[in-house]
Amino acid sequence: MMSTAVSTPEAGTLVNPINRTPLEFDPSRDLPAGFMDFLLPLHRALTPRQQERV
Amino acid sequence: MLQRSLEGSKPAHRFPSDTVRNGWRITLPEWCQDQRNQMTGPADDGELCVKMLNSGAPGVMLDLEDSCVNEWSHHQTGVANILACLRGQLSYYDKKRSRTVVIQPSSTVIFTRPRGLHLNQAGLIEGELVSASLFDVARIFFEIDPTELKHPLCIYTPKSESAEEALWWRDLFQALAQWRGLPRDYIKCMALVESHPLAFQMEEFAYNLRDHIIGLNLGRWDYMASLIHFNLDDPDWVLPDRNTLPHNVAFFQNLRELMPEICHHRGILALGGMTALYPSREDAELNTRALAILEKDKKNEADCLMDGAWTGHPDQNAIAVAQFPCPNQLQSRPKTASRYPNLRPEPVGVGVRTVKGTRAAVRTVIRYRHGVLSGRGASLLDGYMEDLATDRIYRLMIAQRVLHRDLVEIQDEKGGAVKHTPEFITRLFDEELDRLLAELPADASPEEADRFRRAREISEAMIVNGEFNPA
Repeated sequence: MMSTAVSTPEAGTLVNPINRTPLEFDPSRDLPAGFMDFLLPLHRALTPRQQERV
Repeated sequence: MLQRSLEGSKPAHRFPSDTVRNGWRITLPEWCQDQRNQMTGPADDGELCVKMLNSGAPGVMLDLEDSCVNEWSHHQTGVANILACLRGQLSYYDKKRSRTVVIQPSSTVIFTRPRGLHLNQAGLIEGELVSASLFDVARIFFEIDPTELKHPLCIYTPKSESAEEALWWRDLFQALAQWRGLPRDYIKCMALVESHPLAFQMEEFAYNLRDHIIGLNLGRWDYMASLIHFNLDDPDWVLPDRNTLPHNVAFFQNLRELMPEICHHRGILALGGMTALYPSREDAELNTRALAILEKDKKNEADCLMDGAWTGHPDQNAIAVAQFPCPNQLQSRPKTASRYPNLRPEPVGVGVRTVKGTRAAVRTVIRYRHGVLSGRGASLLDGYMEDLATDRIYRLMIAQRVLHRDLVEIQDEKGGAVKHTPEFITRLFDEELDRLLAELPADASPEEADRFRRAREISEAMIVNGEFNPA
């Protein structure tokens, strides 16, 4: 396909492609007690399947 | 899938297997029979959440996705607001009337839209990405007490591209229900059909979620963006200026007729999309025009046998609701709808392709991106509600006009053809940025001007780099 580009600036450095927790984030303080223990098995089971689709 | 489409192998109807074809039907719960209007808005705007829930709309969708800036602080505010809404506890202080406004008791069904499967959440687990969809739904489910809710937890699934993705959502919903000892079908959902390939797999998608699904929704703006994206290689798909496209253009209308055919056959609701032009309490002319367009648009959806649609402004609710038979049209089946219609009729003989339209698109993407950089995932611009979906449409339309500049004519005001070279687009970006900066109030901060410059830079870079996915 024909390029639309005059030049190719690094858009990836300009936009925020991913939501990231802040540097000072502490799950035990910033999320409800017990949530990470709840999330982890779900993450192990479902995130790999989601990643295949990303 | 996208790459295959761009190489010429376009999405096509799949003829469902016997399992999907044979007689299965969903029984729609009583509490969601009437969804003639669903109001939607960003979950991080607490005042809007309360206003939507007090609007009288039969449904409200609280959004953690496209209308919400995808940053941690906005997301956390959104989650907190959703939890407070589900508990009926959110309020805001109305400065004009010097009073606190609380959520009034109602039968309004509350939906949460998590982020889609295309998005990740970073920083929760060191060195690992977590599915943003998983994190959002799990976060809400972990904190609710199902016995306190007026109806089961309802999720709006976004951005799906295939029937197989429904199995991921099914497994999440059932794992959560199992953790709490609830029936496996406890969580209910509606699904957005807002990608071109999914339009060919709606029945299989519903089948895979049959323990949970109560309806499909034609997410028209993302669908249109996806349709352009999947046909970016085809000069016949260079669209007219967005606001010259009629609401009943064939590529929408054929899908609008197919969706109720499938949904009603299977016992679930079919909902239409969002009218982009918003009413205004400050501008009488715009208000009258917007409400007239809304009425015509929703009447058309009702005539296609849809059961309701989306709106985003409380003043739209009564008109939207009035266009649809109460509580729904589940018993109606289209007389003429084909089960396998052409879902890619070319946009021939509709609208106009003008430099003015390109310029408007350039101006809108800069202003939308400026809103994002200022913490707003959706912005009301010239009466139109613009969010990530409409931003995608504008970016794709600009790219189409550049890619097919030797084959498709775009006219200036005198009817002359103007070739949309990359250099021409850069010039439009420069000119519109200058205009926007000149329009800033005299006391605008230097940061405000810088945000516009960054917005201009990002927007053009996304087009140049072919960044059109919904992220």
